[in-house]
Amino acid sequence: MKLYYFSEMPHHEYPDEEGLKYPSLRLEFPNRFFDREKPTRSASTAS
Amino acid sequence: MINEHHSTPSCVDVGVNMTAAVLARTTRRAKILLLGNILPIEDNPVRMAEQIAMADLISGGRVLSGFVRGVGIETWWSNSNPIHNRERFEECHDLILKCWTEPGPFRWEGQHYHFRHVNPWCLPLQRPHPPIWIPGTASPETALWAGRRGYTYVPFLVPFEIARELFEFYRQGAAEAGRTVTDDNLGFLICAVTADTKEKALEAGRHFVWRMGPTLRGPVDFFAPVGMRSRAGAQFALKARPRSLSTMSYEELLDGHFIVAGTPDEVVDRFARVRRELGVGHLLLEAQESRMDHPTTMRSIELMGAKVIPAMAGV
Repeated sequence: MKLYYFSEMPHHEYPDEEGLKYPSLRLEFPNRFFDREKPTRSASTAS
Repeated sequence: MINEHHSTPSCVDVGVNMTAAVLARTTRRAKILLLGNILPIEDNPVRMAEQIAMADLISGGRVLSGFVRGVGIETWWSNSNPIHNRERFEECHDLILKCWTEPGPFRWEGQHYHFRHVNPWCLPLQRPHPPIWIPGTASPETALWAGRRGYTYVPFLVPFEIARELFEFYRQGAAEAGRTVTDDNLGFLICAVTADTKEKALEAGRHFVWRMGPTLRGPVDFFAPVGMRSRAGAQFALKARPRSLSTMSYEELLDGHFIVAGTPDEVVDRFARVRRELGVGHLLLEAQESRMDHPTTMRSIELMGAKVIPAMAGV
């Protein structure tokens, strides 16, 4: 049996209590909680 | 394996072909499984065919090209009509396959896509085309469709008994087309992490609960807009998920094999059980989630490579 590695590349970088203020974390959770610096540090070769 | 979603912190990989291109240049031997491109929301299947082909060329023919219908979220995100979801999926697939397998130029006048000149000057290295994979959670039609075509079919995070039922639909489709089903046609996806001790692994495994619960919270129509599922699909979905994952405790998710967390030996035992229960040839591991930190993630990858994969070679 062959194994495959998978990550959804989650961005759980916000206070959980903020997420609970919205009906869903999808579509309506405001993107102001997106932290531009963290993905850059994780993935960019320029960082 | 890589995937794509939109408008959600649960997945900020927003371009599966872009990630595939990066991996094509940063890896040497691993297969790159795209599972996958969301066909119904694509407005230009020709460009999609070109991009997948380019990733296949750069990787030296290592792309496994998965096609998905997407969850309802992507239908909202793209402002596409959910009623046309399956039609667009199938037509987009047909046009991509024609791009890869038939000489251009040709004209395409379909129901949802129209192109006067189709003549892609970028074709996949693999002939006739990269292997095609299809995921499933609840749609019997998708399992039948994949079976008729001999594509690799992979249920995601469903109980064993539901996976077996979906595989039966797959086999029915394969039989209609006179195809033989082997374990290479069947896969399964679970969440999994390993660590040096059981305690550490169980602590790390709790990060998957965020994926099962908070990220799936929301109005039903967000995930299944009216018209996206057929009646049969909707009925099977109710059967497939008599309880939503979000209502299950961590212990129930472990017991149900939705999450595997343990030492390498324990993980090998669990994976072997999946193999015995389902007869699959491919096990996809969602192996990092939520706030699982870098050292924990890397140690799990290391142990999977050093201990789990060698042990699984004989399973």
